[in-house]
Amino acid sequence: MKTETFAGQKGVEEEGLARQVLDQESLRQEKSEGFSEMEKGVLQEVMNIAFGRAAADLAKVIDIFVVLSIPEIKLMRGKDLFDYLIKEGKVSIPFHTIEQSFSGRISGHAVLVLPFESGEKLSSLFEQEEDIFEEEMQQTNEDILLEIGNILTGACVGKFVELLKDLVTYSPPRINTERLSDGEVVRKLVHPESRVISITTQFSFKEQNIDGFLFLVTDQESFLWLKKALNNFMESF
Amino acid sequence: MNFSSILDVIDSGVVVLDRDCQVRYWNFWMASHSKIQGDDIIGHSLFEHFPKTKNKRFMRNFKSVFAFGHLSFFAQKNHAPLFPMKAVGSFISDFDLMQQSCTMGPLRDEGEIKYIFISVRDVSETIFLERCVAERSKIAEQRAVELVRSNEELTQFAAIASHDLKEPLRKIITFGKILTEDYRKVLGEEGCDALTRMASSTQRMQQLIDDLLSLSKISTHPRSFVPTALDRVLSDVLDTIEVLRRKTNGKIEVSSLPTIDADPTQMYQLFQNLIGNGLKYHRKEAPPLVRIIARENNNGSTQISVEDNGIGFDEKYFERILKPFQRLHGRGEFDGTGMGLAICDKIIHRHHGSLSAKSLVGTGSTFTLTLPVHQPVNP
Repeated sequence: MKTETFAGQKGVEEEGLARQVLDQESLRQEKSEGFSEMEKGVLQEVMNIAFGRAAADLAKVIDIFVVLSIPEIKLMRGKDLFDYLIKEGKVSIPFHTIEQSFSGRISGHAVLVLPFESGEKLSSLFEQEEDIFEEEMQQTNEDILLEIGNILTGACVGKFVELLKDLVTYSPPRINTERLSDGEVVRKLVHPESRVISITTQFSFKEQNIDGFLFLVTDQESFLWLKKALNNFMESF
Repeated sequence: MNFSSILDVIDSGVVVLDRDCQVRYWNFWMASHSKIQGDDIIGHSLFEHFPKTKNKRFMRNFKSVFAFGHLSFFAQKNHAPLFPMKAVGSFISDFDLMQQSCTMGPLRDEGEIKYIFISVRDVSETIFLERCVAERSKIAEQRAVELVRSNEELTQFAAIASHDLKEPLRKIITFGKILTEDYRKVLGEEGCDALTRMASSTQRMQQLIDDLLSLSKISTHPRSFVPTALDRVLSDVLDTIEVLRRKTNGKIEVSSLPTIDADPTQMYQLFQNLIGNGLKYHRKEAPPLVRIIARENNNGSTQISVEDNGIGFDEKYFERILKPFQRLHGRGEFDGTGMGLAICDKIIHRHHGSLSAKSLVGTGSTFTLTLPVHQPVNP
């Protein structure tokens, strides 16, 4: 399996880091897998900023306190994605997966991987007002997972494309209760030969003690646009 | 042309809200279904008319759409309608309220999210059909469970009944023999003839019970599938039916057979029945010739043909002769209970295979069985 890891650069101010990356670019123009070292660095930084903002807004706007790890970005073939997820320990025990497609000039899929028991735990996070809309109290655990998946995906993808000054639209989320380790979910998402960017973040809900993974997979058609958008992002500094 | 008029003719509701949840747009569809005219709601808080919509879920999604610019989905399957309205059309009797699927999304002005829109679709028909499918699936599942149970009971019944029938039958045979041997003079010629007929019928009944037991044991006493060398099984079968082969002056030609995952005892029964039939149902003018030919398929199965030059049968009766106690010939012509092919068919099905036949009356028959080389792990 051939993968390429982007170096995470934690805790550096976005502007300063972008300049640092620009300096690196002047030294090295080497390209691999369609991205130059500079582009890879910028993509990593854009994701860091986007996910940071997403976490901050989730807490500030809707009181969801979630910690998002520095996203890990890898380039690989579709057929290697599942092996990578297994090897990295991202999928090994029964999980719920909540899958959602996004499309625009960058298109792909967001897959949220949550432990089986998380639905019940998250219900306390999303408790309803008893005296307002009693029927709403009947939300199933599945429904809660769908909602949290939609919001988390919307936050992360939304902030990412916002930084790159673009828009995407979303399909309704779908929940899959089968074992992800069967590989079916990944196989359905990506063509084995297509080049994919896998962006994985570990998240945890502070009060509920729930950990999970969010991975975004984009297709190769999005590569050209992404390269251009990353360059535009750099030039803006 | 101002295309915004589309919003007043489409078959969906469209609502626009500002950051304070005040209604800024209310299309014609919303007005006609909610009976609230645009003039009465535009400029007012949405919750003045729909107080139940002001719940945590709605507000959470409302804020997140403003914050992240994504879409939020309110599927009817999981929620009460966002905008309670009277159901319309032929589903009024099924629903008090219109079943809705709503999507909430951002409206930007110069890149900034200023408003959110909510599109409302009437999905009453879809929900109605989904419920119908769910109900019917439930009924089908219940029936399948009942069918499995009754089938199991029937199989058990056949096994128990045939086992219990054997005991009194043994006594009839024993006492019949005593009568024939010790009371021949008392019974006279007519009495002895009646006893002979009775003995013949009891023998036939014993054979029927044995076959019925064999048939039921295929399901009630199954052995696990193990790698089975069919060559060895066939060799044992040929030893067993050697007496019949000699009696009919028959010839049996065998090609090399593969090793497959199977129940060896049932494979023995299968070949014994098929080859036995080939020898038994032969034409008077020609000694029987039975050929067993194996061929491996590309799809992981093996095909074995049992070909004979016997009396043959009309192919339209093939399905019928696979059923228990079905015979194409009178008992006077050929012995048998009509269970042989039923047993074969059941064995093949248990092995996830299939049985087909080609036959021509007066020329012969070819029975072709297709069996998987490896049995599925979880069939």
